[in-house]
Amino acid sequence: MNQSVFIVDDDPAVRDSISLWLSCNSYNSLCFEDAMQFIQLFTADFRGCIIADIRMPSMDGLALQAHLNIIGCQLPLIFITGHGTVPMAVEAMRNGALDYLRKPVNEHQLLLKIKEAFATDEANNHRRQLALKHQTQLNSLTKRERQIAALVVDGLANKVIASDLSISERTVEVHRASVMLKLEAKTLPELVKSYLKITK
Amino acid sequence: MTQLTNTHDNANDGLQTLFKNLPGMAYRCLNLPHWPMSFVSEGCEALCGYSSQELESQSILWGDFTHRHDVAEVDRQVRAAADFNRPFEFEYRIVPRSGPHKWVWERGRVVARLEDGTAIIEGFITDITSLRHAERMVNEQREQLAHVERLNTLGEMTAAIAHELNQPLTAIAMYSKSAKLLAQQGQQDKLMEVMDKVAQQSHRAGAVIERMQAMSYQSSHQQDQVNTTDLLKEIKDLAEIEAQVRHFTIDLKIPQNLPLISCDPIQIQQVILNLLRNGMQAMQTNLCASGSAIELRAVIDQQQLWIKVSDQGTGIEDSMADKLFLAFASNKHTGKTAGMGLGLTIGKAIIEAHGGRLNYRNLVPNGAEFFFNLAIAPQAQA
Repeated sequence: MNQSVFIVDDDPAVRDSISLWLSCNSYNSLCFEDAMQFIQLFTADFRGCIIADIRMPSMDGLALQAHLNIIGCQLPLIFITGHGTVPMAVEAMRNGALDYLRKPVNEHQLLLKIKEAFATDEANNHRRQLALKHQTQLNSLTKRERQIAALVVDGLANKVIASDLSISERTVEVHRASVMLKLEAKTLPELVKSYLKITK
Repeated sequence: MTQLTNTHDNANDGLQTLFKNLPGMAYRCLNLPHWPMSFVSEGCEALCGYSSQELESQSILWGDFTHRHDVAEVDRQVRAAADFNRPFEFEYRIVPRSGPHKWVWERGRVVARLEDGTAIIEGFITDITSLRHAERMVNEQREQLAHVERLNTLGEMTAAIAHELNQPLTAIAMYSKSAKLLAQQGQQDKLMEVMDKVAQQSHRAGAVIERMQAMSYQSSHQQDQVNTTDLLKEIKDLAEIEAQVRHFTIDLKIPQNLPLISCDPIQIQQVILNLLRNGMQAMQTNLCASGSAIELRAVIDQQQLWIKVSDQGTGIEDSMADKLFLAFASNKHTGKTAGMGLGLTIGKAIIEAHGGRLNYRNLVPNGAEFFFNLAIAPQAQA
């Protein structure tokens, strides 16, 4: 999924104008009438960032933020508000908002924040992809391979491992080669690094 | 016989003394244009500056110095009373021989008729100018206080109003920036549509300002025939700004064809706004769910228009009942939101000045209903 700006605001004119302005700036956007609608339609493959009003009927921006934190949504959140109080801003930032802008918003500032948010989202996504890859790699190791990899990383020689597990040294070598292939490691240090990463 | 005359003379003397000490003037006149006087008591000189001789000789008539704006109405009322042999009572102005005009109170009735049917009227007139002045001062002070309270209310509503104004301003800013980009990209067709949207949003912002502007005006002192439906809808719109911030809704329930009411519309709206805001505060204190409604109703009953505001708040504690309408007896003592405690006091004064009563009752299971009445003029009923 491409990166989009998800606009959550109860005011139709605000949604419409921000969405138009984003399209003029070559950004995709999707509009949501309220926080509930966003939560209902949200899927894990959403990429980009959220622009949300703080003051909204039924579920306000801060409640939306709390909910997203609980379900593990990492989309960067930019709040814009018509009249925010300092405690609101503090709570928003403490709970991980990217920024808290006052309406009417300065377009340059908003554009900069969206760029920053997209970069954060990109980094988050990269990290997620990597974690996913590591998980897949870990899952691909057999029980025996995992056992041997752990001992290799502990610095034990093949001979010691073979005697510890009461198997032949040749068998250890075969497993070890398979582990290196699966973890895309060419050298022992690379193997150690990869192994530590995926088992972290 | 002599005995009788003496008694009569004594009685006459006694009457003369009584007339002399009256704080005003007793009279007998004919119900003819400008009311020629056949008898006036001594108090007349103090009242109008003309002597009893001048009036009794009819070298000047009472109607000659009745205020020119009032003379027609006085004439109408006296004739109406005379036609039905009813006593009359009213207040009007006279212009005495010297000095500014005076307010007088008059009461009289037909005591006999001439052969041609002309009514002979006897009555009493007294100076109520100082009373009028005092009344006017009280009214002015109440109006000033009400004005201050309106400004205070608007001050408290700043946050909500700012939010309401910032929405269209945000949209205008974003549409304008978009328009600039569309122009650069040569997308003329889209541009026109966007400019229309900018205009729409600026009208929207204007409407918000208009709604609150009326509240900030000094009231006109005037009692107009007011369209009650418009009055209620307008104040609902203004209160809604705050309702949105608190996540409540205002449920307006009015019958069709509400009558015209003679009142000062700004002051009546102020009372309703105050009741709605109090109610919403109580609902917030009572942790009412988002979307809960406060109800604004109008009911017609026995020539009275009843305005009722029912909330789902905490209700009024019995301990507050006695002092609820007293100044500074605020029920809301939570930090910054604490009001001046004048809203209900002023509301009560406004309603009573309009001849109505402001009262409340607790609702079951929770909440309170505040209500007041305004008289419907008989001819104004729809």
